[in-house]
Amino acid sequence: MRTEIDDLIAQVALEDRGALSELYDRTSAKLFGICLRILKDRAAAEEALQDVYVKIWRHADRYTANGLSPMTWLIAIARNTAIDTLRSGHRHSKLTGLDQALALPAPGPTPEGAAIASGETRRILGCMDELEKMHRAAVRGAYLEGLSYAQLAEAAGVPLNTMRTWLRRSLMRLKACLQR
Amino acid sequence: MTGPAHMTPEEAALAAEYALGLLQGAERAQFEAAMRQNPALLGEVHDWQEYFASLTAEVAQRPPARVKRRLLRRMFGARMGALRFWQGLSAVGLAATLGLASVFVFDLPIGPEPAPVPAPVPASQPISLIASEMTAAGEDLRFLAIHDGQALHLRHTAGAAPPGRDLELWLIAGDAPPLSIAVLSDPSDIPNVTLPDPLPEGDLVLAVTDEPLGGAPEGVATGQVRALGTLVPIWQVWR
Repeated sequence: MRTEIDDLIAQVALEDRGALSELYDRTSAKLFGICLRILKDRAAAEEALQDVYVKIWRHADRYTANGLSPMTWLIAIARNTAIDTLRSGHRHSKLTGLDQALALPAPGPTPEGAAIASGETRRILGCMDELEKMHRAAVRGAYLEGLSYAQLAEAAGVPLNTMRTWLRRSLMRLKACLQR
Repeated sequence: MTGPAHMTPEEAALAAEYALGLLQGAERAQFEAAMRQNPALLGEVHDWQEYFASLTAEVAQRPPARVKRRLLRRMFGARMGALRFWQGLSAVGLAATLGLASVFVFDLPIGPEPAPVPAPVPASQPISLIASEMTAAGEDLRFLAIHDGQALHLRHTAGAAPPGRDLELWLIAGDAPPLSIAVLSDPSDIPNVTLPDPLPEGDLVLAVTDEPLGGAPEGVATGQVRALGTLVPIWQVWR
């Protein structure tokens, strides 16, 4: 799976329209799911999904150097596009700072990244389970729903700074767990 | 995680927040600038991206078919609509390996709505159709096809049939099942062939599959699609 998506992105970088079409068929359900979770509006998610593939088409040549696994790169573009749509209230298919950051070459392949790509999802979810319920909900809310600190704080009924302290502590705990 | 020696605990926290999309405005810009200077920060962000991607394991929702149609129209213009052909093919079990052909249609407006398609020329009049390059994703085979109103001239420009297989040419009109046109036993010497007259209605797509020697049994395609291209009127290509 990993290699095939890799290959398709490489072909898209060569402006192979057939490869884009196949990449869409293979990945659009996940990327649409991500856009829909964040935007919570079908029409907006449909528009965002188009923007996602336009970005992929335009910037596939930057993928090869960045060291992310292919699905992670696609997921990151989908999230960034949906979150930017959500926060700016309008669409744009230019690369955001987040996309550009992802396009920068990584310092080198990281063993952690490779381990994840080969399927350690359960371990990661296990580490999430070690977090307190409310903190876990905040991490998921930020990542899957694209919620801001202000929204997370409001949802939990705590001051923003408290939420930020919670979340940072949760992230460091998560990191420690992942490194075990 | 990458090189904790190269980042402060504050930077490590910012990297995680950045990967979650929690940094905004000046704070985000500031972190992005720092990340450009410091590969360890970028590595940390990438690691978090990989970790968090696992949270999407159960996230999936198939988008409606119109989204892909609009996307291809927006990106490549109005005639990039070989979609019905794709869907038709899946009915005969070919779709898995399909790629859309690289058929370049110049000067058509790219926009949210389809460009007006000129009225079809009656089939009895001479009409020239071209598939400028027939190809498929991941395949080496290339063909050029020109229909001059009388015969189809097919030229093989690259690639070869898999060993022990013959290539076969198909015509797909709209949603109709593929119609066998010719077995291409020797791609370097393809005789001119005739297409049905009058030409069928709908988008005309030429496809090349690999089949058992001698061609598809019972006239039904069984092999993989190795190349395909949409036939478009020549004046749409060069006007």
